[in-house]
Amino acid sequence: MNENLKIGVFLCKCGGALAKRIDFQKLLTQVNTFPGVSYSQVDSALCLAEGRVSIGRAIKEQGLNRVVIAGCSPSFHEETFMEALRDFGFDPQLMAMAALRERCFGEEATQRAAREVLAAVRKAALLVPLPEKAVSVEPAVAIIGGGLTGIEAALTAAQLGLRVTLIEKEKELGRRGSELYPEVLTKKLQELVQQPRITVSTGTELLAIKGQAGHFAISVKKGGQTSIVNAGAIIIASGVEPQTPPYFSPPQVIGLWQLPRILATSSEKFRRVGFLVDLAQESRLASHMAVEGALACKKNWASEAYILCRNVKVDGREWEGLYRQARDQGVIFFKFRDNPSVKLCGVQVEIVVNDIYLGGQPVSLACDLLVVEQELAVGPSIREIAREAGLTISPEGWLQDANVHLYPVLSNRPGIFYAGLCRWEQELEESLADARQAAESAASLLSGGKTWVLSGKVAIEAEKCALCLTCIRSCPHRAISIDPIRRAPYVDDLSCQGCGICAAECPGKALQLNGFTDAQMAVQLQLGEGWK
Amino acid sequence: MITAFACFRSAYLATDQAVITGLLDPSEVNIVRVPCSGRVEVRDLLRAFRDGADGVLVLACPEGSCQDLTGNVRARQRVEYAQRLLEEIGIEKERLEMAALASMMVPQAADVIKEMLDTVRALGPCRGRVSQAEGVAK
Repeated sequence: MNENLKIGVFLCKCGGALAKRIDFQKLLTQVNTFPGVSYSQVDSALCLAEGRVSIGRAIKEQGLNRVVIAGCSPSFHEETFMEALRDFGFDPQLMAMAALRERCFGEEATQRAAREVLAAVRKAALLVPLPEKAVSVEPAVAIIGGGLTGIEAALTAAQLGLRVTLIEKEKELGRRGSELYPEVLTKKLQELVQQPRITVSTGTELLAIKGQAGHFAISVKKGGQTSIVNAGAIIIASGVEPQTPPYFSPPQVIGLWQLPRILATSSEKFRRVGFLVDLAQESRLASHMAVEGALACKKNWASEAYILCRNVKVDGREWEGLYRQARDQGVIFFKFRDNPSVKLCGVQVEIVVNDIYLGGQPVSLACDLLVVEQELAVGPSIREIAREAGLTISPEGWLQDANVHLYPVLSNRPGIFYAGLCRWEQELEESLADARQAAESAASLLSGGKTWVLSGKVAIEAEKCALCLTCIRSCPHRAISIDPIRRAPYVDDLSCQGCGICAAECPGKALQLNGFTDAQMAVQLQLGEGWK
Repeated sequence: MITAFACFRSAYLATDQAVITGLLDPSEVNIVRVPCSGRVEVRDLLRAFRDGADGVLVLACPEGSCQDLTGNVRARQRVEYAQRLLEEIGIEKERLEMAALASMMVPQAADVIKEMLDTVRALGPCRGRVSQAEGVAK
């Protein structure tokens, strides 16, 4: 053990609540006998300003080099104390916490408290400093996909001071946007040309994503020439490809995504228009598009409109009102449990549907135009590139966001963000919100050209490494590569998320996750003394 | 006594809440924080038995919800492997279990731990001892 170890133990009564359960005088006496403890104190509430100041004072006056905070669980106030220690210029990685509030009850509370503090003291003794270091990053972002989402992401990122390369495989930006939302697209394109930080690269095919957060190298191909785009972050806004709809047989049976063009260009007026959605599964976007489409048909062609669905989903801004409007204008909704039958009869389409509210009596409808839902799928090439870059693909084939509620635009790899339809079915406004959030996330990582990260989260003993590459294969964040000079793994500080999978998998024990090394884990497991 | 390895993203928060809300008495549980269940090695599991646990739990995120993608899947494989090792040396494999918890699954966290405590009470103290754990997976 380090001879110069000076551990300070700070016991907290949690505003007095713990004083009823734990005998703090007795605990303090015990704590002072623990190895390495050079200072201890009891406070009524360490998390408050006064308590935090007292920690800082003690660190300075007593020359402490490790801190143990015993009070509430780290799930509750760890961040608070880390922040406070950082403010005192003390490495927050040299702190261990003991959860007294969540562990110590009943007659043996004091004894249990002593045991919890002992485990924390032992762990603290094994902690090593992990300095935060500034890593230089390229203040540039590459956006894959020049649809409305990509354009919005580009505009936001440029406003936030990043250089932007907008990569689009087609000759023009916003092909689908020009059909679905022509006014929005025109406006965004006007903004785009005024933004000097944005480079637009159309007719450009994405080949591969290499590198790490802060320094990605994206290889692209334009007009037969391959080149590399360097960027600190990547936003994938590649959208989806609507698949050929079931029963597809133009001009009578078309897909939901084709309707806007038909509406704009068709000289024929369709008198009776049917919408068939939710065939494979219920879809909120299809619901929304069908309702919007039905209203448009009424407006353009004065059609009679039927919507056949399993459920009308209205979980979006102003969608409920849209549905109400459709009902008021006479759009007729059928709800089915079994998929309706569809038959082409000359120029008409005959649909037989069993509505769940009509008591099993099938209804037969003859339509001039049937609009059928289209399955959405991320394009095979982008999916393959994503897979090769170590990004996760959901079982349904979308690019999997890190957490649908908490981190919707984050991928499993730091520095790579998702926006819009490539991650989940959503309508324009939601995709644009995604785009802005992704751009802001990229900017918070890259602005100023450097970012602060903990260095050395994973400790590596090169002499134990047999170069078996298990760590590289097991890292879920693609943070590990091989350092050819040391002949050992190299862990990228920015990409590493500190999960410890590499450390657990390494057969040679060449890797250790600081904070959770074998030794630090082992001291948490000892149940012998102090338990009874 | 049981030792529960708890993922700090999910199960650790759930067990904390279970204690605070009075659903769980923690006096016979040693809750060990891990950053991801993927950090828990076979050796850690065996060490927990060696160091006095009568039962060991690995509390991970539900499958498909691991922030580190494969952490919980790896943990499950290791738990299954360690169960076989335990059986070989005469320790009931029921003493080692894995459960999936999300951070808001507070009552479930209490139930999972109570279940293990019941199992351990029914089986009695762990008589077999893992003493060579250091040699495993070295």
